[in-house]
Order: sequence, then structure tokens, then C-alpha cells
Amino acid sequence: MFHVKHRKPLIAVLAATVLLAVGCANIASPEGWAAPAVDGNTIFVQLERGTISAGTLSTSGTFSESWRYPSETDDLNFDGFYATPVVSGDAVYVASHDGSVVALSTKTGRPVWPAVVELDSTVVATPLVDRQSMYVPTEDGELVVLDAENGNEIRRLLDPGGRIWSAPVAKGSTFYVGTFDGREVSAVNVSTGISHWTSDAGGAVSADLVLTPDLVLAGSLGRSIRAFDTNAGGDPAWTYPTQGWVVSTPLVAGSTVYGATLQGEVFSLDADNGNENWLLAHEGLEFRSKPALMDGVLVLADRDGRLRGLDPATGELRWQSDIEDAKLFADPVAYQGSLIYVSKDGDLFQVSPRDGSTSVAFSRGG
Amino acid sequence: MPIGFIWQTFLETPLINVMVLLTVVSFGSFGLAILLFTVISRALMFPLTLRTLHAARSMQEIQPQIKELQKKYSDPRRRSEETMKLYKESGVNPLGCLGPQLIQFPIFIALYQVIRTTLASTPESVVNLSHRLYDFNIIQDATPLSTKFLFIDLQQNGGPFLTAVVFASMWLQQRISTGRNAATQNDQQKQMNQMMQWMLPGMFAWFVLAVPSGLGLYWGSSTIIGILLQWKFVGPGDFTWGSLIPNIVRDQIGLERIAAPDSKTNKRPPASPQATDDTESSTETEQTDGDNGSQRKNGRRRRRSRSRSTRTSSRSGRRRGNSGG
Repeated sequence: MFHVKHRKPLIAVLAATVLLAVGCANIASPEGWAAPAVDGNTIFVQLERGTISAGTLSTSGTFSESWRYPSETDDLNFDGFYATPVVSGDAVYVASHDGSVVALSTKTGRPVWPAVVELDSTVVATPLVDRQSMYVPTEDGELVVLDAENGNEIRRLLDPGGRIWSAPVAKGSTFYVGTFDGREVSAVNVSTGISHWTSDAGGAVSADLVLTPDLVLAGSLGRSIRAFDTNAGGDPAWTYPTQGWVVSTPLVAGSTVYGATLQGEVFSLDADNGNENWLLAHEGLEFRSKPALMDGVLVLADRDGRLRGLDPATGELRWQSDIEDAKLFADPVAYQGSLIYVSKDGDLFQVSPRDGSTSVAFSRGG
Repeated sequence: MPIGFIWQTFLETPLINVMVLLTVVSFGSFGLAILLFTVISRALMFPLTLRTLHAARSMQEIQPQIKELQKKYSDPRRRSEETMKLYKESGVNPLGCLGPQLIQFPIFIALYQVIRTTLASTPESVVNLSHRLYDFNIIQDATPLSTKFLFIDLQQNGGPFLTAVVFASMWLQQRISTGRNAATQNDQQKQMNQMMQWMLPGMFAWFVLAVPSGLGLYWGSSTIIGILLQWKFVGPGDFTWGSLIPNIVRDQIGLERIAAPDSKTNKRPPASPQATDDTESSTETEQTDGDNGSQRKNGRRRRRSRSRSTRTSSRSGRRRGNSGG
């Protein structure tokens, strides 16, 4: 194949290739984009990959950290969090991508369970905590039921299969689950584990499911939002086609659905029939984070930190502002009259919905 | 234009879309798409590969002359000059064999990224994939692609099976390649060949363990196609399947011991008629020896005519030198 005299440059090329390729191995590694959660004045947020911090914003708008888990003394190393922390009672429940699940005291940040629960599957979707149980959707396609008191595994629902990336929603004893690989939405009785119905979602369900009184909404990579009638065995009530993938969770406000796509579309729909109220295309913008409605302004954040404030009735642009070098994938959370965004780099921003003014609450760069 | 932009726009992004399209036509199997892509890419590179294989064959044919030059000239510079002259006269490009390999490296690196992005193994890669796909329904609606192929999860790092396939195929390719020119190699070159025989497959086997299985599937299948082409157009050199049986096993089952292909003791003693009759592997060995014998005869014929022309050019060179002085 090669004459021996020309092996040296070849070895150099090979070595460079190996180094380059292995160097690239971290590019698409799971870093997590968990949205912050708020309980009273406390914000629970992933500022550093694989850790959860709790703190408050001071009057000057600076984040003051009260605890962080795991701390250096815990000697634990978690993957990033995609799942939003869930606050229930005095505990905050977190699930990391590597399948580690833990309940922490909201006050001290110390584990309330005897040990960290390590599932045999990775986790992307936000778990659901309901009464005494915690339901963790896994990338193996199961819904693992843990005792919320001590983390003991109670049972597993759903058959292992395709990945679940979207947070399930509950209505009574029925859970609605969207699957990524299966491209379906299912209704499952959590007491019996029996599936009531399964419907075609039209594409991979990546965005969190949203519940209205009669419908469950699923945005998908099938470039649509589909509504399923929960009272009619999951029959599709309507489908709204889009140009881009819907990985941003739709927002339901009253009888209106607001949505956004990875191709810069922002739209308002009638929740009852899916009729379009208005549609705007923001060329070059990619919306992964959920729209927020506050103080009569619909706020959207593009993945590259470009913010838009729109009139929710007409879609008319009220303001726009940019946060430089911020990768905004996570959903925002309302906090004391403003919106809190966390970037992928772990910077925390406070955005005023009225005029789009932004301030840095926490910067990992100092 | 930054190199990253060029890389993404002209190599990575088209490759992502090609792979998605191939997956659609491969009944939704990304593994079949990789195999299909391997065949297509090898077919596109076939003219180049063929040229390389012809160069390898020419190289093989001029080995006796090279050996003669090595004996004739003790001065390394002069030897090198004469060797290069011989290459030129014979139409052999010693660097020509690097072409297909060098072309494969960018594909290999790009494919690594493509597999990570296209299979959407992480939520980040789904978002990244969105703006890399061309706006055709057939491509846009294909995601997510199935990550399973036979018993292999294409997005997980390579397992023992793929590692073994890549190691064995690369070892075989190296073995076929290096055995061919062994006769003209000095001890250092032979030692290096011995090292490469194991190091290169070992390196790629380790590589397969560290990257998604899809890449191992590509590399393994590409190497196997390379072996088939080499076998068909250049031949296996002095390689025989029987030579894969190690001497320790040969001793136990009563087969004749074989010498290392590129050791100094390459000249095998003539096989005893009994051994030839007894085993298939011995027959293979004898056939190869026979081939080598005819190659040697051809080599001798060529050497005679070549040495004549070399002498002529030397004389004319001297004449020019004299007249100039």
C-alpha cells in the first residue's frame, strides 16, 4: 500500500487525524440546558455543568448563592442537567443526564434521600413530582416511579423503547407522554400502567407537552404542533403546520397558544381549533426556549441571545435587544417582575419584559 | 473565508444531507446508509484507487532493478538519484499511493461529525442539526434516524466486534501491502514495516473504541473494499491464507514452518512433495512461490534491458562530462 520511505509523513497525518478527531469528541457532549426553577425568592439553577445552585437576587440584581450541590466535599460528578429542577414541599428534585436523581433540601442543599439514585438510563426530560411519587422519564423510554420520600424505586411504567425528551403532563391519574423516537403521544394510567391511547405526533416530540382543559399539545420535529383531544381517546383535534422544527414548548395563555420554531417563526393560535391569529417570521433566528408572557408582552429568546418583545395580540414588535455571546436554550422563569434566563455557559440574565433591558445577575467569567 | 465555514458549508453540511437522504432510501437504516455511502465513495474514488494500484504493481515490477541499484551504489545520494530516475523512466509515482488515503481522511473526520450530528444523540445536536438540513421535506421529516443497525448502536462507541473487524481488515491490508516489496527493503525498513503491521491496525482499533460505531462501520467496510480491490488488481503479493497459521500451531499439526514475510530468511526451502500433497495451505504456498518465480524471471528480463539503458545513459553522461571538461 505504501512504500516504506513515505510512511513518516503518513504517520504524522494519521497522528494528527487521531488527535483532531479525539479532540472533537467533546463538541457534541451533553452539557444540559435546564431551565431555572423558582420557589418564593429562591432560584434553583444550573450555573456550572452538573451542579445545582440555589440563591436569591439582591436589590442590585446580583445573584447571591446560598448553596451548591454537589459541593467539592461531596466528591460527586454529574453530567449536565436538561431536566428543570422540580420544587415540591421542602425538597427540590433534580435529575442529571447520566441518570443520577437526587432530592435536596431547599434550605440547605443537602440530600434528603439516603443516597443518590442512579438509574440505568440517561435522562433528558423534566420529571414530574405528584403527591408521594416522582416520575422520571428516561432515554430508554421508561417512566421510572420513585418514592419521593426516600428515592426507592416503586415500579416502572411504559415499555422500554424510544427516547423520551419531553416532560410529561398529568391530569388526575392519567399521564401524557410524548416520545422522541416513537413520534407518538400516549395517555397512561399511572396507577395501573395501562395505556389508554397512543396517537401519532407527526414527528419526534422534543418540546415539553402542554395541557389545556381538553387538549394535550405536542410540538415536534415533524414541523407541526398537534393537539390531541383528551376526552375523545386522543383523537387529533387540530394540527398547525410550521416551516421549522418545534423544539420550543408552546405557551398557553387563556384560549391562545403561542409557539416558536427553529426557523424563526413565531405564531399565535386559537387553542380550541388551531386557527392562526398571526404569524411572524424572524429570519435567521432559532427559538429553542419557551415564549414567556409578562406585563402584556410576549418575550422570545433566540439561541444566540437575541431577544424580541412582541405584542401578544398582533405580533407587532415592541422592542428588541441582544445579549452578546449568550447561548439561550433554556426556558425562562418569572422572578419578581422580570424574566430570568440562564445561558449555556452558566451566566444568569435578568430581562425586563417592558422594555427588554437586561442585566447580568451572575457571570461565570466574574 | 474561515476554514471552519468552508469545512462546514462544502463538506460537512452536504455530507449530513447525503447521509439523511441515503438513510431514507435505505429503508430508514442509518447503518445501511453508511455502507451505501462507503460503496459510493469508493466508487467515486475508483479511478484514483486504480491509478494507485497500477502504481503499486509497477513498483512491484521494478523491485529487482531497485535492489540492483541498492547493491550498485553505496553513496545514498547517488542511489536515491538513480532510484528516482528509475521511477521516472518506469512511470512510477512513489507518492501516488497516498492519494486515496489522504482523500479519505477529511471524509473520515467529517463523517465523525456527521454521525454525531445526524443521529441527534444529544438535544444539542438536534438543535444544531436543524439549520444544517436542506429545506426538502424528504430530508426535514426523516429525523430522528434510527441508531440501531443489526446488534450495533451506531451512536455508541465501537464494541469488540467492530474493533476486531477493523483491526483484522487493516492488518490484512498492511500484510498484503508490505509483503510485496520486502525483498528490496533494508533491515530498518523491514523493522518499520513489522511495527506498522501491528501499530496501524492497533491505532485504528483503539480509535474505533473511542468514536461512534458508525465511523468504525465506515472504516471497516472501506478497508475491506480496499482489500478486495487490491487483491483483484495487484494480487496478494506473497500473502497466503495458510501463512496466517502461526508456526506454533503448524508444529502441532505437522505443517511446515514458515518464515516471516519480510525477514531476511524470506527464501523458503522447497516444499517437500509430501507436504505439498498433504495440505491445502502448502499448495497455496507453492503457487505463490511459483508466481514469485515467474515474477523473478520477468524481473530478470526487465533488469537486463534496464541495465543496458542505464549503461548507455551513464556512458553518454560521461561523454557529456568529458566534452564539457
